[in-house]
Amino acid sequence: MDEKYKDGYVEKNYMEAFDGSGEEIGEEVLNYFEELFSLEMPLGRMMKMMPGMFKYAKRGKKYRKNLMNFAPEMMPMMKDAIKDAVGLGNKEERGV
Amino acid sequence: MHKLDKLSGIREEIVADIPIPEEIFYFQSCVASNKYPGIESCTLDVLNKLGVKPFVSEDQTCCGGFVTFANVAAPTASMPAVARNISLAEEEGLDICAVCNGCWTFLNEFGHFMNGNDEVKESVNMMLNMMGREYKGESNIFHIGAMLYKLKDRIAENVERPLEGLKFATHYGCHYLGGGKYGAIDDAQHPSFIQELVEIMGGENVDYTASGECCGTGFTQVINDKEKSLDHSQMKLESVRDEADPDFVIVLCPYCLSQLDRMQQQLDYRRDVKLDIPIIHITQLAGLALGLPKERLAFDAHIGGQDRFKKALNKIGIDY
Amino acid sequence: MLEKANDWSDTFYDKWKPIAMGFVNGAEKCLQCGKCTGQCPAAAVNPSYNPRKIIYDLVNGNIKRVLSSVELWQCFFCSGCFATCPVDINFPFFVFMLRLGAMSQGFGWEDVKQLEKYAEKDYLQDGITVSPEERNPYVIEERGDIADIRQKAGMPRQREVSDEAIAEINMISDLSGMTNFMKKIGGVELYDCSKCTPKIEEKCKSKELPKKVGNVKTHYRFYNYGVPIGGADNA
Repeated sequence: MDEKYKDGYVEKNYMEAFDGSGEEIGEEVLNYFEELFSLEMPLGRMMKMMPGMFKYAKRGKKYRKNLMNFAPEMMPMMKDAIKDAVGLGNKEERGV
Repeated sequence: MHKLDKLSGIREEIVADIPIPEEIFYFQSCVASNKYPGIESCTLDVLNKLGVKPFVSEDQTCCGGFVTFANVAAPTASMPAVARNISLAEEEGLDICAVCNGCWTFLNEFGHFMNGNDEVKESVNMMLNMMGREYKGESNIFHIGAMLYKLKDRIAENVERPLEGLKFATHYGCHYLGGGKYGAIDDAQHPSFIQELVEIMGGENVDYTASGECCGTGFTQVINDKEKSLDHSQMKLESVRDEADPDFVIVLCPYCLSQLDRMQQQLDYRRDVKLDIPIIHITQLAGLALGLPKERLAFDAHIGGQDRFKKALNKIGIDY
Repeated sequence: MLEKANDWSDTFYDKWKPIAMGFVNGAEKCLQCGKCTGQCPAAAVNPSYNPRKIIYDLVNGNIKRVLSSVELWQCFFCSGCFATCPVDINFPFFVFMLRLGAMSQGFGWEDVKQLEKYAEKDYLQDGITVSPEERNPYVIEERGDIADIRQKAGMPRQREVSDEAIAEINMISDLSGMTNFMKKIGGVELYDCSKCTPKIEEKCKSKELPKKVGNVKTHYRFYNYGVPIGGADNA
């Protein structure tokens, strides 16, 4: 047997490596996937994209031009995202 | 009626759908460029000789398949990267020709997926639009093996250096026939199209038991679990040596080439297994038959089987 | 080593199906015929590795056993199981997804860490995943510099990828969260084989596991599917 797995294999049951029950771990993993593969564009996610766009723009003139061409398309998306984010603050829509 | 004499599993309908273009987008492969440049030079020359002009773009990057499936990149990055590369060919209005099984599957599978899923396509295009590109899903992706099979008549006309007296074994690799089992031109379990090409070029085919086995790279296993990867390659290569004893083993994928070639040296110094088997890519095979000069074949980039290379190439009149 | 039956997740697989845009599903069709395991190159060298059992556990929600196993990381990604499967289950994609899931639970990072160089140093900086650099000094001894061979073949000494292309893939990486993902993995130390000493060799073999990756506490994996024997004799 490989030395590197010895501890794990001999001394512990794999059940002990997890914090939650099977159901909870399953839920955690599924949430992780859902977030990873989500196609939605909430404000938070869009904000996370900003540094990448700035980095790209800093590389030179032609890159900035590419981004500027895209700007008209981006505005409505930003508006939607902001509307959604504001909507989340609304108690009724949040269902509280 | 079902023909009993037809043993090959080649899917004629898929072959018939492959167009013979005047120009094609040559998709550069990382291993081919940086480890076995002979594959790159042979692809360009062979396509030129067969009347298809290869188009090379410096804007093309790696397919991103390795980093994605090695789990070191977020999988969400892979779709836009694939779309970006395909959009380069679309800008020129060309189809894509990949020399690597991995590139082919990755571009083909994800390309198809995006074409069938508008939501994903839209979200990918949003990202590409920021860079002034757009993915439409118009270009087809062909493997160089399929292209050569389609062009077999032109190959037959252009054979300048018949490969008489040479024995060839084949290794089809996993991701073209297996991974793309409905898009590939041949059957995954009993492929035969390379054998047909070898016959056209005048060579002799030899078979061995482990011909359908994986090369042993195991994608990332060669890095993470080297011993197991070596075990598998050893089994495969010993089967080649003992049963077929070929002059060349033909592979479809540069990554398989790299594994089968390099592991010969490693098996020698780690386990004292002596192997002397030249492994070549299918474009290098075509290059041999179409009479390319030895500089363009670039067999000196190969590590294993150098003695056998010398013997075999001398047989067909190349002073190596 | 069976866990209590009530510790499995009954709903896991049903909820799994729509995830990843429906790209990775269809495992419920599995016939348990075992053809995948029969033709598997990874199973040939690792007898405890068994795709059939992993699919069984996934569909039945025995998720802890799958995610914490060493076997999950032994797949060769050869697609042979997909090629031979009578109901077209694309098992390698399941492995890919399950590995991501295992990583989120802190398993498998000792493997992933070794590979990060290819994304960060090669793919994102040069646009090419495999660099001309050789880690194995015997290769250079045997073959010489690859740039010379390229030049002899009438090609530029190095394959060029334009700056624009690199800017674009970096942008894609930033926007799609790949850069953040890699930051989590952290810097990687790949050893140079030409400067190998017994001490480095020991380190290289034991591949130390980082204690934490991002917010995730890492764990060693377990041989959950059998006794780990195997090797050349069984191949």
